[in-house]
Amino acid sequence: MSNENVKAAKRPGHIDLDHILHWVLLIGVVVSISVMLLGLVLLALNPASASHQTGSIPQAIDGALHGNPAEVLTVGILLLMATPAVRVVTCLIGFLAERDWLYTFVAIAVTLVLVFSIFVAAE
Amino acid sequence: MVSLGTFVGITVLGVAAGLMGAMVGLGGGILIVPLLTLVFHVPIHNAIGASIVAVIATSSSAASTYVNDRLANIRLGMTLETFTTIGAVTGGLVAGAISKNALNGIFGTVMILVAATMFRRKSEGRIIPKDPDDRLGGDYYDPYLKKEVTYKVRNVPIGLAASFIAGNLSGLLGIGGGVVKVPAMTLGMGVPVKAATATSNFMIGVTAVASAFIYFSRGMIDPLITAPAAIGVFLGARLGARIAPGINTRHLLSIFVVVMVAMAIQMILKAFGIEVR
Repeated sequence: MSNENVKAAKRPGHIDLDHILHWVLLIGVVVSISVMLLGLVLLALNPASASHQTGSIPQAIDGALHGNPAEVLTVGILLLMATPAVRVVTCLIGFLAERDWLYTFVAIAVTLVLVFSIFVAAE
Repeated sequence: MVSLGTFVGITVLGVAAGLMGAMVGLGGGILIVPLLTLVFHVPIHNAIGASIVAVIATSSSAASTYVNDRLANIRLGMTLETFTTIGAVTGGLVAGAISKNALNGIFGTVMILVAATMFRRKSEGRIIPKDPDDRLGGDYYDPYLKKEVTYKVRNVPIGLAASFIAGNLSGLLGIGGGVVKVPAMTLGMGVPVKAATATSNFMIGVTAVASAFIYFSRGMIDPLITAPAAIGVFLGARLGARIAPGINTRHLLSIFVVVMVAMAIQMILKAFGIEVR
């Protein structure tokens, strides 16, 4: 770690957001890819069972819990889609903890656009 | 119904796209979409849906490394994401409203434009060290220069405009849009190339998510096409990032551009109803 970073880390109210984001992103990708691989294994074991209905989150979760391979894949995909969204909310909380109001506001704006996109999608 | 053979085939194709992309500095999206439509005859809307998800995997995975190295500028990324996400929602809605043929044609045209930029060397803009209290500026340790690099971020509006266009490309075509954002950040905003590339990558996941729900709710994210594409591109990109430093990419680049232009022409022909097999 360089001197500059040590100084930054000692700033009052500073949290190591970079490090937290590293783990959020890594865990999100590893978990979602693992769920997809699980779906792939289920599919290989029973190729005929891969029926699914697209476009509904509750249906995907229900199907996945019943071991439907295509729905397990869909849940993996949804977890992957959730990863960057969780990253934005993590940044929001981090900026808030640092009392960095400007960037808290910016993070809220991005969160709102994502929420808006879900409403637009539901139309 | 996609057979297990097709599933494996798409995974292999994804690995190839991710690997090639990582070696010449492109996301997998610009390759996975034409490969899915031309090789597996996947409808282009579904190919783009698959690419959007695949791009989230590669971006998040690369970004997890970049944030740890302090290369990705989180505040700059978040600022520009306000416009990439708005652009992506717009692009996603437009994609849903236009025909397969039109989308094939637009994709082919953008591919040729991207191919044309590939021989240009990425050049640094004028880098000004940041003030100690500046939160938008960045600093990171450069192991090649063996020193701490700090930079001030200038001309935010240029970045926002480029971000809106990049977001459009993401929502409409399922590609990351680094080709627009990186030059805007380096030449326009004074961000060093390494930080600009990392920050662009950091933004791609969130940008892709902004249109992903639109594709999902319209049934354009087929799990049996999307999951193998995502797994494949993810693995290929990880592998590519590992072996790329040891390879002379100059030669590879020429072959790559020829392949890209060939696929682009096929996409454009497809737009006019001509199938070349």
